[in-house]
Amino acid sequence: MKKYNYIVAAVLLVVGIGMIVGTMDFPYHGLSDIGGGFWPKLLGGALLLCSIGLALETALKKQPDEVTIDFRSEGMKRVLIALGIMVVFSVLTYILGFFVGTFFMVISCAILLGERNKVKLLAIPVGVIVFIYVVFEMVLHTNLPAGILF
Amino acid sequence: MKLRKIIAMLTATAMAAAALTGCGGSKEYPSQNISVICPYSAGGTTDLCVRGMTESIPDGVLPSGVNITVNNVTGGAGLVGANQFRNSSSDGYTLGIVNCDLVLSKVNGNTDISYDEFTPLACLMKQPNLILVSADAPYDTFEEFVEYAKAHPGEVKVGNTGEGTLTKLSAQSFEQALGLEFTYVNYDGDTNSITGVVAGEVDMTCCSAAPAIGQLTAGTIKALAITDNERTEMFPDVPAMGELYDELKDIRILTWVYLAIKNDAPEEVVTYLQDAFAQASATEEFEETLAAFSIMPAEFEGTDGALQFMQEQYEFYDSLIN
Amino acid sequence: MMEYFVSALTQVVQPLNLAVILLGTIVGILAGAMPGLSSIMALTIVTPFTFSLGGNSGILMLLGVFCGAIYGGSITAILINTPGTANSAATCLDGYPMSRHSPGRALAISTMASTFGGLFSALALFFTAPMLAKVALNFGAPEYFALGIFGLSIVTGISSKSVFKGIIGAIIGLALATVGIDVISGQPRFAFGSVYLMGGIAYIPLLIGVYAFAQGLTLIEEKVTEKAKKDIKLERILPTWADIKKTSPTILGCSVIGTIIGAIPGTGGDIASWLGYTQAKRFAKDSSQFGKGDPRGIAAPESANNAVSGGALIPLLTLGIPGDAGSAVMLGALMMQGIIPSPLLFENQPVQVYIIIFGLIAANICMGLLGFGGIRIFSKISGVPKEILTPIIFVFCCVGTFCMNHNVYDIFFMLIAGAVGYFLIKLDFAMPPVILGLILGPTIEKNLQKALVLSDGSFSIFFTHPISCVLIVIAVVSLMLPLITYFVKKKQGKNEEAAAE
Repeated sequence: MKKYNYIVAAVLLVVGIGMIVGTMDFPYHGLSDIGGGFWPKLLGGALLLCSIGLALETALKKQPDEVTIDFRSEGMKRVLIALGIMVVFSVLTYILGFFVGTFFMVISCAILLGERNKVKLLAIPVGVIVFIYVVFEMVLHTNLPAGILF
Repeated sequence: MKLRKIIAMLTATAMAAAALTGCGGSKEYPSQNISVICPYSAGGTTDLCVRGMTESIPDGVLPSGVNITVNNVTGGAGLVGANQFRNSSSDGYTLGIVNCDLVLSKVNGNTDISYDEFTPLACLMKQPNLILVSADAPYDTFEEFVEYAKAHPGEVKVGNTGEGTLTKLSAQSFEQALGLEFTYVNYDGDTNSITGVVAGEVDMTCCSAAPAIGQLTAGTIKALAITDNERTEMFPDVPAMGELYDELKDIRILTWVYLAIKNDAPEEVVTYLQDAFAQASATEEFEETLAAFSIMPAEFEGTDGALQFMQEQYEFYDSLIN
Repeated sequence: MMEYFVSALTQVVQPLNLAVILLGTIVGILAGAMPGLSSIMALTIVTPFTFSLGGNSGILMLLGVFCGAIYGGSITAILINTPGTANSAATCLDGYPMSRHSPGRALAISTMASTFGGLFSALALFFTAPMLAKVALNFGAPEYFALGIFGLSIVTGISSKSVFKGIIGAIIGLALATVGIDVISGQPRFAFGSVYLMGGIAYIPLLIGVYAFAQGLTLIEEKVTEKAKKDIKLERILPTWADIKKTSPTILGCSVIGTIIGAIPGTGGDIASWLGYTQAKRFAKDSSQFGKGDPRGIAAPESANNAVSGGALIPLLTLGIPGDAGSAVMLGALMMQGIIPSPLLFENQPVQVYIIIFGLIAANICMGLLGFGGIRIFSKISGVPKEILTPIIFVFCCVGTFCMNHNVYDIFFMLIAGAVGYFLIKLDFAMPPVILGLILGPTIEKNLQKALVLSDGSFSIFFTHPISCVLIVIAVVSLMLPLITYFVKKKQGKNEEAAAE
């Protein structure tokens, strides 16, 4: 965790500086008219302090790391695959529409979690899609994304 | 073998998906819910006008199952909603609002969205604002208030709904003309600024009658004048500021709201909607709703007449500010 | 007076009206339970239908949805550690641990607490509305600022082992809230020219992402096989006397908290539930079980969040200002029925007001009955194999996110937020402070600015207003307390080390 704490601290540092710099040219007419830049600058400064504090706290902690993120473990590999599935899902939904994307996503996630029964693998996505179609498109008249091809 | 099965499955899926999504395609307008982006919070003046109109459309005008829903997108003096409206799809299913605040924001340079990017469909409201103060304020008439403000420059706090809104302009119009100096306090909506007057957080606010009527009848606030040069039917006892002061006789600050749609929406859609709203505004139900909200009925002048009015308002605000 | 009572009562108990209340409550519970669907969404979708119902039936249906949705979130919070709505995020902390061995008991406590909270606030609405309305009036800019800071401080206090990380989370939330068009000056901030970002960071996609989606990722990582679950015997569906006795004081206290928070415009179940939880933990004689399945840890947030329902109607009816986001949707429906919010509403339109109150009571009773009756069915959800449940959760996350603004970019944002949230959670950054920071950020900033305008630039306004002063002091103390204890302990540790040498 120590390594990641430092990464987070570094990110916070950058974001904090970014917030201060990004609102440099907002009007400020004294405390009775603080304008739109006062609060972000305040928060940016706070983030800077926090990032320094986090780095210090991590450095000074003498206890061994309790939590580690092992990217090579079974569980984390699955999570990374799941995130990959989501990326593909996003692309599919954007291009081909929600139902195609969802179909793909449900099957892949189920396989990822260990489902091997082919009947179930087909029935569940179809069932979910039909349910959503009926409830959201027909009853509630919501238009789920249809992608740029449709 | 397995590969073939997978390909077959995928093809079947693709076809099924295509069939499902294709279903939504070519139906007659309107074939699904229409949404109106209201750039102000629920229960405020604009929101009430919109709901009043959309709910009064007579049965049978819209196909069954089709509703007009109101989607409140608040913030930035109405600009957040306006931006969303301008960037919405032009399929005719998203409507929006063109109102005085939008034109005012353009005059102030806060936005580049112009009223002529939209086609007006119906006029929801066109009435002057009330100048409201707390019931136990030390002034009972508009003149007394002006004298008080002259004697206490910078101390009179005026509640308004933000930079570039009509509620602020209402106060600024006579602030400038009469040589007064106010301090402006921002609220999220006109209901909130009225509560501010009731609570004593601010001394005065200018807004339309709808959000104020509850407190007015309860007697916690009083109306000193209207921001117009003639009295209105709805409040015959409230003087017009133009009749009290010569400097103000040409100033007419009206809160006006139009339902609109983007210019590139199909023409049949525009005609359909204008027609539907015209039918709605002729119903008794609509008149009753307006009366309940203390909104005065307004005529829709048709696309060209409405755009002309907006043009005049734009020039008027420009002259006041610049 | 009695005639109004009777008239209102007879209207509410008509078959049609009871039916719509029931229907509304069912819809509300379902919407609240599904992670991804929220009560605001349910209310917005149901509102058009209520207009065609006409008369009071529409309002009664909305009241049913309103109450049901607040309760519904607890079901999934308890069973699958995924709050159905932000109101029930605190319920996960003790609800989920308890549900691993006795889901029925957890659900029973939650239902009982929710129903009591709702009924309590309905009665409060009836008896104390004019008084509480004055409380709402006393909340001006400094008070809102202080309340926002206070709300944040209590959440950071309990969220993670490192209070510091909790504070960081809160500041991240506040920072996210600054993205978009600045309400004060009308200029875009941190939008990088993107139209999507100009609208600001919507909290629903973020909420769904970091709670529901991140939880789904955790399920994927754990990949627990579910065979053991089928052996759980379902105990009685009503709470035991022991549980009732233990949680009664908590429920009562948190109902009061919820009603008051509801009465303050702009604050809702999310803050109330956290406040209830932290107060319950603070005042508990033995707080060691909190976070491991203490019944009070379930009862507290659930009674607080349902008590918001009646409280939120108070400023709505008397001032026209909604007490929370859900009641904001109801405002339009109420005005359509000719109910004009006014301080004199209770005197001018008593029948209408009583109809609303009785409707609220009826809705809460329905909710309780449905809740208890449904416990057996709900418990089965935790028995659904995770291979099926997880993808379904993902799908509802996406659909729910999309339904808010019909914007496909929201879905992408939700996924990204969920992924980042998942990693942050693993690093012991709790998510509740981030969410609350996002929700409270605009309130805090706007009221800071307003208060400074009112005081002409002086910070003393926060301390000359009594409510504001008290809230800020408590906030600072509760934040400083863990830090002070930390340093004191370290010093003690150092002294002991030195002494040992």
